[in-house]
Amino acid sequence: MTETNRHADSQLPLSPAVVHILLSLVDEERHGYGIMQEVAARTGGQVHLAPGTLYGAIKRLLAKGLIEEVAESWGSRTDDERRHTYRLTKFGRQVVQAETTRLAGLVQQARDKRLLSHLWPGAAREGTLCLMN
Amino acid sequence: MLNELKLLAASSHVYRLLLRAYPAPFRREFGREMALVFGDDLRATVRKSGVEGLIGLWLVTFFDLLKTAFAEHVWEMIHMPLEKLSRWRWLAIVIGGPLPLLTFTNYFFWDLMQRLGLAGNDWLHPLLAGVGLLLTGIGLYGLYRRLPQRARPASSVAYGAVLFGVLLGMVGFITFMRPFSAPFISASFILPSIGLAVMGLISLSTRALGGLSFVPLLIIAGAIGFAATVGDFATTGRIQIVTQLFLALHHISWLMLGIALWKTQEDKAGPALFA
Repeated sequence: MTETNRHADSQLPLSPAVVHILLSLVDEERHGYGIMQEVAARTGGQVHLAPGTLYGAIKRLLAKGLIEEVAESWGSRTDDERRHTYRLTKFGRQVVQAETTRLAGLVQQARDKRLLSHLWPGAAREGTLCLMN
Repeated sequence: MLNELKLLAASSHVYRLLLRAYPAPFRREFGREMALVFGDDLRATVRKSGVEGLIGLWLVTFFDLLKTAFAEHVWEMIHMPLEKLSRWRWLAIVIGGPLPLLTFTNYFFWDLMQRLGLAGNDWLHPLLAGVGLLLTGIGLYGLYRRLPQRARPASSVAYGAVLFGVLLGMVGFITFMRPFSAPFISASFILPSIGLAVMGLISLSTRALGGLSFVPLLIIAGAIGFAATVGDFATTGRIQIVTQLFLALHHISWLMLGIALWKTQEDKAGPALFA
């Protein structure tokens, strides 16, 4: 395990809200409402980040260096248009990668115990085929 | 349509007012954007679910606000610099206030308390003493971590003596309140007194507290107060109001100092206890 990975691992586990926020910033930089919309769209409306949870998490993510504000010139924009935009840092990407790897490991364990056969009906048979091969 | 607009404007206004529940630094940094996000969310909800949808949104937002405002206050408290200590007097009042209030009520309204079955009973006194001692122990942890590494052996022994005395006192009050075991109770006062005095002397000699130079004075006053309690109790057989007043205020100040001091050791001694 590298030094960087150890450092990323030290941030785990992340809360579900934080994972959603970091995932929403993987593709592109977004402002607060953009994050909220992306999370809602990605989860089919199941996860709604209220402003307190959203900005509380953003504050801590900024403090830990997982995300950063995008410096931009607001120029003649109105007050309503002036919003801070956030993007994932390199370290933030490592952390979200480490967390999703951890979660994937958990999912794999659940699959091994056939808890998720309703999601992957062919999984058990595939496993058998693999063993046969 | 006009009513809908009014409702949206009123909701935004109420939310802006509710943002005052957050600590000022958090509000300054994120309050404006939180209000904008809530406004966007309001409009999206009305477009999607009509005015009825606002009820659900408000429920979610309100409970989120309660939860996160409390969390932010705790965060601010833990990460508070020493210089802001004086601004947090209210915290001591909120947390430690009920303690002296109960003590004084018990003392001044003895008859009333007796009629209510609360005076000199088997749970109120032990509860007061137990909470007071616990607060002292917690508060002193902040001071212990503030003392420099080079004085660590002596301060560890001193803090250990305080904790042992506190523990002894709590056990004593909770289990042996009736009848008093004089040596037991005395030990629970004398040990913290010695420990407090040693910690006070260390902090004075090492200037460990910087701007908070009044802390060692509080510590030594605490030691004298505890010693006075022992003497008072030994001669009269009961604890006088002055001593009770001193002890109650003493516990509050330790709690307040302890919480504030946790933060200051974060960089030197690893993460804060509740971080």
